[in-house]
Amino acid sequence: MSPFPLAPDQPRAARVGETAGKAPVSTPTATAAPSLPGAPSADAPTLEVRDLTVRYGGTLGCADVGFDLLPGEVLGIVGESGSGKSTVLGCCALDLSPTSGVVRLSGQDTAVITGARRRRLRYAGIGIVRQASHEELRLAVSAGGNIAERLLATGQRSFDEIRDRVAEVYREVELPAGRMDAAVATFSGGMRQRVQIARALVNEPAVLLLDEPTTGLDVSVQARILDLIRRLQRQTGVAMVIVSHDLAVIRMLADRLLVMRAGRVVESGVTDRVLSDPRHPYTQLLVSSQLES
Amino acid sequence: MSALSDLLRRAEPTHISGYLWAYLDAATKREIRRALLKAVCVPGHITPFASREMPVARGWGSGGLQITLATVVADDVVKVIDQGDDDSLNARTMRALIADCSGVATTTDARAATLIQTRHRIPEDDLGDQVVLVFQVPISDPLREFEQRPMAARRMHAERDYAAIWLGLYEDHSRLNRSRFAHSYPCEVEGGYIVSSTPIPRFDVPRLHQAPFLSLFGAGREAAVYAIPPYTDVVPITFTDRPFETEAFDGPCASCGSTGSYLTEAVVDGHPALVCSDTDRCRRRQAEEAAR
Repeated sequence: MSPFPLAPDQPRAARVGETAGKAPVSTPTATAAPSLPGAPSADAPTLEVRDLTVRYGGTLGCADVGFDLLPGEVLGIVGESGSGKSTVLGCCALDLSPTSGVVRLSGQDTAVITGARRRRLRYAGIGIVRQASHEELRLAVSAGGNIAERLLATGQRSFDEIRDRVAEVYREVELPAGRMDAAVATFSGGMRQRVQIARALVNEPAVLLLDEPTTGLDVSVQARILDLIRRLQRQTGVAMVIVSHDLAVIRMLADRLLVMRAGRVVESGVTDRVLSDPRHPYTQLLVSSQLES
Repeated sequence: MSALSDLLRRAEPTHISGYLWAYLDAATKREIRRALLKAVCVPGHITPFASREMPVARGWGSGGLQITLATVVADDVVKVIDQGDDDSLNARTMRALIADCSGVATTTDARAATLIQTRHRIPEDDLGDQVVLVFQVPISDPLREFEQRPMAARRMHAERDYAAIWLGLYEDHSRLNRSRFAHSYPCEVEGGYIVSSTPIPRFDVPRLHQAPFLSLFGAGREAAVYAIPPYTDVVPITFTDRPFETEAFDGPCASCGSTGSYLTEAVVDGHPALVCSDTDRCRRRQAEEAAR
């Protein structure tokens, strides 16, 4: 049985990117209506972002960013350093509060949720994997403890049940057996990312946020982590936002794509369409400046 | 008359008699009592107060001493123990100080006391609702070990965000198969704040639950007090499938033969042996045995 009981045979309605390359799509709205911004949809979006603007004093973090993330969908955000990707993700993760605009998680306006309820929502509803693992993990605490923390924070109080669930997820992310009780400080970079992924998914959040999850890892480890993320995403059907400056990562994972520059979304659409037929000059530059592999 | 009480009498302004009664001046007493009132009103809440310089080093009971001296009244009977022992140096000197500058009666019999200042133990006798226990606290915040930033820890208390303490328990049980806490076991007070059941052993923790007496906790170095009012729920936190356990001992007390008391190792007749840590009650039991 799958360790993620939320993983029924999830219809992959949003998985349009796989065929879009073969049959060029003229306009984004012409295909796969549920996954596209503004398109009418029977499913309520997991995450709704409207007119999101964040200012850091006089500096603009991001401006007028909007998107819907449907259940089971993967949205990529690309852009260069300082383009506002992490600001948008920070608002989705409830780390930041928007200057204006709305972030709704499962229909709830997150701005009105404060204090203990906000913390609980963050633990129960949102999984996050960060580039710098030490921002998310307690290095002195065991891998199992780091994974268990989210269960403990959401009120689970049976040690055996917590331990079983942690062991299950620990195996699922392919971490070495027998090191579950070793401190995360003794883990390599790739293993720490796996611990973060296990921690993020342990209590089956509605949305998984990935902020440059493989940046800084060597190429072979990067590929394996991306494989793992893709497999778990399909297995659990969790909605996902992945931020990266690496187009290869986005191409591999994302159904849909936002391209950001200087805090604004300059282009959006189905991943393969945007990457094979970029419209905005900046996207064209981004695609053409990719190293050939 | 001791040199100390003589000195205090000389320091006291003659026109306000009693101003320096029980060592502390009136303003200090008011400050500490206000903090204590707040602490009693919000059980388990760590309340800051203006900790004074005391004639004991911080970390040696200055917090407990300030509470005792701020709450003592003329007809109180005071008992001071350290590790359950009335005769340890620290207990003796503080008892002498309290008696010297307030003139109240002292005792070693917990049943006769109305104010008991203690470190490490709750006296083994049944304590009624007429007694106030004052605990000397080294580290007041159970989150200290997990969150070093005071502001962050305060917010966690306010939001009852105790995942860090539970995580500590999880780590203990997965590595050691038991909790690591020998003292300062974290306890939930009245379903709200988690407090450190400071330095009393796990053995004494169940006695705090629905206790008839008022417990006041003072940390002088940290300038903080907290309180557990009478008849309050105090529940040591633990996993539903890992019951809370108190210390168990092999055999009875070597001196009085008691089987239900907390024992510490001591040298008896040249050999190491386990004896009651509550020395006064142990002596009374021995006397009863001898009389029989």
